[in-house]
Amino acid sequence: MEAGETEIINRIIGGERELFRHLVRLYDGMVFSLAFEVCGDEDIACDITQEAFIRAYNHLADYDTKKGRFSTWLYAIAYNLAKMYLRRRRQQPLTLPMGDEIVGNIDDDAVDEFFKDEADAQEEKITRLAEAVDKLPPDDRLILTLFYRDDLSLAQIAEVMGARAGTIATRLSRIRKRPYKFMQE
Amino acid sequence: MEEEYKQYEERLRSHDHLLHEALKLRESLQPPMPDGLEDDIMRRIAPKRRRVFWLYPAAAVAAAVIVGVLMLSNIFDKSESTVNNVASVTTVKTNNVAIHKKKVTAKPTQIELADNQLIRQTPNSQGKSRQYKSMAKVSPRKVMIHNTRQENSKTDTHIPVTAESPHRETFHTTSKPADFETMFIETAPDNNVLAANRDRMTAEMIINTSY
Repeated sequence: MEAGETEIINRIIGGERELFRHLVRLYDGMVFSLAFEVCGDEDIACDITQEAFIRAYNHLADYDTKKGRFSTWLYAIAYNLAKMYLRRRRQQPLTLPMGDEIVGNIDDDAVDEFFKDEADAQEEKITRLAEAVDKLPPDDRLILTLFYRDDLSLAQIAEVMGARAGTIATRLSRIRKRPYKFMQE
Repeated sequence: MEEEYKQYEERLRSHDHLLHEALKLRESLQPPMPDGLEDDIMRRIAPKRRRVFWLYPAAAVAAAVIVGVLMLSNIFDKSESTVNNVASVTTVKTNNVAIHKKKVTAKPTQIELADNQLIRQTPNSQGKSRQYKSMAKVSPRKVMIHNTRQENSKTDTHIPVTAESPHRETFHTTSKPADFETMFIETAPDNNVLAANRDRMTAEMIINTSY
């Protein structure tokens, strides 16, 4: 957590409400992206983004700067809101028809080798892989996005999703195999 | 354990080039964040507008004006003897004589006469509502208001009651309801009319207590 951010948060708590705009500008894109990743609807993602920031503002005094980054705390709020939305809708996302028992047999080295393939990174291959990622369950998609795109550590992802870092590591290992399997078919 | 996680993270990030590219592609295809979101958020966290305090004196003045108008209209109403706060009316008939009972929630302002009768005011036990009981007697021609506590409170007038057209007449008294021990209204007999039309004759009498 940056010292500057801590100071901004303290000043917002002290009453300088307009400074919250700075935090919104820093993180609104990522919060929106996270919400969209989970619920897959632009309007809902927009609502969740707003609600997440408003909740963060209202509970800013509860945020402990020593426990972790503000962004992680904010993502956790957004993630919970998005999950609540999914629960309300009882939405069953379209996912790859591959259970853990299938991907469990896939060799890790083969997956590593496949994703490492830099020279052969044709556009078509990447597009197909993006399609495969689209078909993952929302939580799996989110783990990939937070890890690869947003560079969150396993511990931070665990904090956002309310899980253990070890669980996220195991899940990530399995999630990687699903698009690989999809690409092999 | 943390070190293990770090190594694992580094290995994945350095290896998974394709996956990284695919995620970047997905990001580029995602809808852009709507404009104005930042302003919407800032607007929603803005404190609620305080109530406009200048409205309170304005509302107080408006209320005073309304109360004033109502009071004035009440005064005019009294001058025309049309105050009417009768709450309920029940009618009981026994032996061909109609007995009208009226409960009045405040001042006794209206009494209805049936068959030219004596009317007696009897405050009830709570003293809040008053009951008027009519008793058969006398004439449709002459009416007197008596207050047993005030010697000079008698008023007499004529009510031209006929069988066909019930009549309304207004009386004035300066007595407060609380001053009444017994107030009764007396009429002189007109047996011919009574005998023929007892059940059909009604004289409505309004007593205005203009104190």
